[in-house]
Amino acid sequence: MRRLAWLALALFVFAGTPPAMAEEGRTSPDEAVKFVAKLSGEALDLLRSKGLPLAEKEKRVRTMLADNFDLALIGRYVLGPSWRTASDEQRDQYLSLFQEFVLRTYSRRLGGYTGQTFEIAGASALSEGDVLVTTRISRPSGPPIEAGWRVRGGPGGHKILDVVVSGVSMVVTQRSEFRAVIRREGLDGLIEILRAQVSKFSAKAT
Amino acid sequence: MREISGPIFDVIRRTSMVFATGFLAAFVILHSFPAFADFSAGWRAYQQGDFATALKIWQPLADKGDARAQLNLGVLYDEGRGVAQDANNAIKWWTLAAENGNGEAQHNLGMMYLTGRGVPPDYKLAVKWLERAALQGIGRSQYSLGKMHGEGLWVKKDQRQAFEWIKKAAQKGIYQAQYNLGKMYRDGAGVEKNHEAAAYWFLMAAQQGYAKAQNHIATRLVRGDGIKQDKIEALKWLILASKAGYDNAEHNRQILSRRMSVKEQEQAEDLARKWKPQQAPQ
Repeated sequence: MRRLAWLALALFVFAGTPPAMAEEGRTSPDEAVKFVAKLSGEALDLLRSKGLPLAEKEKRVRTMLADNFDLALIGRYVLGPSWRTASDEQRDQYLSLFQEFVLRTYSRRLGGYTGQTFEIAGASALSEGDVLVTTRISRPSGPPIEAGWRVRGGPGGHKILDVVVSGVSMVVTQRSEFRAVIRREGLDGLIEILRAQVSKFSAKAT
Repeated sequence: MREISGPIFDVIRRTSMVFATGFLAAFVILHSFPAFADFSAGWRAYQQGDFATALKIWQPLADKGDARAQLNLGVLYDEGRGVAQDANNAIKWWTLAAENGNGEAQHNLGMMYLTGRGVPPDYKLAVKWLERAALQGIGRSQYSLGKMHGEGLWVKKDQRQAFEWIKKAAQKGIYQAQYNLGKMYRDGAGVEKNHEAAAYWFLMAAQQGYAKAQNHIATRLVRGDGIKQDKIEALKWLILASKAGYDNAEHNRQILSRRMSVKEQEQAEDLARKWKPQQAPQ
């Protein structure tokens, strides 16, 4: 059940994305729904597949996340005003660590998930022409989890920009956490702390 | 009670001691062999995503002081696998493993104190455990310490120390450390400037598939800066970096291509097709 909650979080980690990220263009709600349905279908097939070693599952989840979330845009937004004052080197380091942080965290959380069902609950227009697709994940015990995905269409296909769980935008939450770290330790401190988070060893075979 | 003695009893006592030792040995062997087998069974369960079973198998081993099981148990708690996510328990198990000398656990523990997960951030303890792990040759710890000394974050700012740690991490095959070491040799940070050494380490990172380093070494190959001039190799790296999505590489690739014959371009493309990243042991 807890894992399910993580699934919600994870698949959804990024939805309530803010105006500053917006560009021109309008995303069709129908297309956005199709995109989320297809993606969640693929994700569940993968997560439920038996006999695939964990490492391989995690690798595939990772590719799926990398392909369908606009991590560069999310990363820039999450850094807040510090993005503008950061040097090229800092931006480079931060972005690659942030992406690694997201991919690692969620591919691990999702890789071990064995799957319930997704159901599309609805879609609504957001500011900046984005669409929030709401999904419901049912589980054997406890009420279903609702999660919203902020989707934006573009030349490179649809991308997820945020995940909203119980009305809380994961991107906004992350942004305020990072702001607190930057205030305390500076941007270089945030970069090293991110490095700390992505460099932990996982379980070992021997 | 008076102790029974006399030659015959000595023989009996000695014989029983031999037996006892034999029993003890048998006991130890019997119990350590299944422990070994159990550990792998736990790993197999883990790989199948059956974390609850992995936890059940590793728990008693960890209780008995098996540092590998302690490390893995900490991971299960830290990542919330097969158990509620619980940073405090992760710290507890990693502390035990770290005190048992497990380098990975020392690294993880240092990182918990640094990020303040499950504990308030404690930079002194973080540095202590990172240093312990780094001295044991854990490349990731060496790299973090190097960066921290370079920035003066939570430790004294000291370019020489930064260089020493980053060099060790680079030698361990951490590609970001290799790239950083390249920059230190280029800029003379913590070490005397050395263009050949700079090029060498940029190349090492490029060979591991680090797009930024691939783009960088390409520029050096065009100019013959610290490395023998070779436009075909340069184009190869730019093709690879551009394919990996590195922003400037595509632009550089187009400029360089215009200065090369079709045949040279084809050679570079062929090299890029055949290229495989080198895997570093980590």
